[in-house]
Amino acid sequence: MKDNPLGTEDNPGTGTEILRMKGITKDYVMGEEISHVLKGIDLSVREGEFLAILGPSGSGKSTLMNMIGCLDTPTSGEYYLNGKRIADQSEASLAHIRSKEIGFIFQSFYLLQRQTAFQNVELPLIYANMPDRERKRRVREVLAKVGLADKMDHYPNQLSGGQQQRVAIARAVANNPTILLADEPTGALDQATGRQVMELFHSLNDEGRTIIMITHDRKIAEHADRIVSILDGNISEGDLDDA
Amino acid sequence: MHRGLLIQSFKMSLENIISNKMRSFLTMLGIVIGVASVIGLITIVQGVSTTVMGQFSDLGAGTLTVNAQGTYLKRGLTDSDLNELRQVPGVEGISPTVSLSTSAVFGNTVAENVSVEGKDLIYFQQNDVVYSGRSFNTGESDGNVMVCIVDRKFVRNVMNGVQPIGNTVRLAGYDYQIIGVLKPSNSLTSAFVDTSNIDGNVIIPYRNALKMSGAANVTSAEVYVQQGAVTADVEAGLRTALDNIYNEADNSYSIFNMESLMDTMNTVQGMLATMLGGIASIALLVGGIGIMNMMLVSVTERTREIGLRKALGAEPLRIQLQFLIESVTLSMIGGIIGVAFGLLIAYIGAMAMDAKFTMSGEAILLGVGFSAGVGILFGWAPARRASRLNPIDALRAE
Repeated sequence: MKDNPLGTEDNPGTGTEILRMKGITKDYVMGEEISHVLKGIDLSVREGEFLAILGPSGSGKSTLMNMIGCLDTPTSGEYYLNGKRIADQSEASLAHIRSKEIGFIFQSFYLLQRQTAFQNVELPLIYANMPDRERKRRVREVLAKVGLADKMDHYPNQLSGGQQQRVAIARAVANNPTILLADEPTGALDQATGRQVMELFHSLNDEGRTIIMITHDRKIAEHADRIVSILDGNISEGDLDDA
Repeated sequence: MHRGLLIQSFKMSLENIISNKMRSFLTMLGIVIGVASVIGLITIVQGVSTTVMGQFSDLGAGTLTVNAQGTYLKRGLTDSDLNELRQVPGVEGISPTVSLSTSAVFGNTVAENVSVEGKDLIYFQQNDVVYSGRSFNTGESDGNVMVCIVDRKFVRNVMNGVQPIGNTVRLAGYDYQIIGVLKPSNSLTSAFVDTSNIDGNVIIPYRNALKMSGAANVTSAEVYVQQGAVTADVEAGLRTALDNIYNEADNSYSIFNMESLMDTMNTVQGMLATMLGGIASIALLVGGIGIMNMMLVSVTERTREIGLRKALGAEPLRIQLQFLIESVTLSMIGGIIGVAFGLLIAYIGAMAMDAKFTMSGEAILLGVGFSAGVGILFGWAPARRASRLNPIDALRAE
C-alpha cells in the first residue's frame, strides 16, 4: 500500500477523495521581506488513507498542517475538504468546519490541566452542541476505545505521557471527524509508548478512519500507508531519500 | 443562544474562578467594597431620612400652621375670623394655639418655668398624643373649665412622681385638675429646641390659655386639611380669607406648610443619596478596573488554551461568551457579597444613629445590577481580545 501512487483516477479502490489541494501557496510578510512558505502544494487524500507528511523542520510542514486543519487560510490555491471550499470562510464557519471535519492530535498533547480526562474529551462535543446524554455516552465510548475506561476521572498530571496522548486521541476522534490530523504525535513520547500510539493509529485506520500524520521522523512515517515529503515548501510523493 | 451552551460556559467560568482562588478573591474584593459602600450609604441615607420624615410627619404632615400677628388696627384672629377660616374648602378643622410660660405649684413644690399650650379639642382628634387618662371633652374645650393634661417631665419635676390623674395643680394662680398624661414626645422640636430649662409641659383649653396670657386674640392656629384635599389649594384658600380679614396688609400673616418643607427635604435627601452613591461608585469603578486587569491577565495566561479550544471547534463568539460570563460571574458574586456587607454596615449605622433600618429592594437590585454591569463593561474588552486571538499564534504561545 505504501508505494501506491497518488493517482486519483487509476486507484479508486481506496475510497472517495475527501481532501484536495491545488496549487496552495502561503506567504508570510515579515517586515519588507516576503517568505514563501508553501510554494504550490497539490495534495489529494482519499477516505480511509493513512498518510504521513514527512519533512524536516522549516520545510513548511507545520504551515501545511495548519492549512489542512483549517487553522489558517492559503494565500492562493484551492482547498476542498469533504466537498467544502476552504477559502473566504469566516472565522465562525472555520470553527464549525474544524469541529466537524478535523480531529487534532498535538505533539505535546495540549490537554487542559484543570480538567479530567473525561472533561477534556467532552470539550469538542460541547462545542459541537451534542446533547448531554449522547455526549456523556460518546465520551465513555471513545475513552474505552483508547483503553482508558478506568482513568476517566484522572487529571492529566495523574496520567503518563502515553496515557495523556491517548486521551488526546480520544478527544480527537470523539466527534467523529473526517480526518484525524496528528502533528508529531510521538514526539514527546519514548519509543515503546510511541509504538503503542502508532498501534492505536493502525487500529483506528483499520476501522476506516482517515489519518494524516505530520512528522520529521522517517521511522514513524513508515507506519503510514503512504508518505509524501515536503521540502522547502514543495511537496512530492514518497520518501525523497528512497529514490 | 443555546441554553446548554450558557450552562457549560458558566460551569467553565466557575471552575476557572475556583482554580484561581486567591486572585479571584482579591479581584472580587474591589467589587465587594464598591457595592458595599454604595448599598451601605444609600440605605443609611434612606433610613435617616425615613426617620427624619417620620418625625416631621409627627409634627404635622397635612397640617398648615397659620401665624397671624395681624396689623396695628387688628391684632390676631378673633373667633369669627377663625370661623371664617373654618369655612375655607378643604379645611377639616382649626386648632388655635396659644403658648406661654408660667409658674406651677404642687404641694410644696414651686416650678417657675412651666410651658403651657392652649389647644382645642380637634387637636387631640388629629394628633394621638394622650398616653393615659383622657383629653378635653366638648364642654371643657369651649368653656372655661380648668382641666389640664401634663407630660411626664411635669410629673417628674413638679409632682415628684405622684400619680397625676385626678390631682390638682396650681397654674398661674388657678387650680387645674389633671385629666391626662401626654406621650413622650420624640418629635424634632425636642431635638432642635433646648428644653432643659423647662420644668414641664402642660396643655390646657385654649380659651383658658388666652386668658392666662392676657391676649385678646389668637395669633397662631393649626389648620387640618381634609383627607383627599390638596394642601396647596387649601393654603391658597386660607390666603384669600386672611387677605380679606387683614385688608391685604403686608406681613400680617404667614402660613407654614409642612408638606412643602417635606418636599424640600425629600429633594435634599435625593441629592444626598445621589452624591454619596456617586462617590461610592468610584470604588465600584476601581473594582471594575481590577476585574478588567484580572481578565486581561487571564486571557494572556490562557492564550494556548484559547488556541486549543479554537482548534477543537470553538467559535469566536463562544470564547468571548466564556470570558464575559467569567467576568460577570466574578463581579456578581462580589456584588452579592457586597450587598450583604452593605446592608450589614447600614444596619449597624442605623443602630448607632438611632435611625430606622429599611432594607430596600431597590438598593439590592441596584447593587446586583451594578456589579453585573461592571462585569460586562470591564469584561468586554478582554473577552473580545480572547475571541480574536489567532488559533495558530495562540497554540504556539509559550
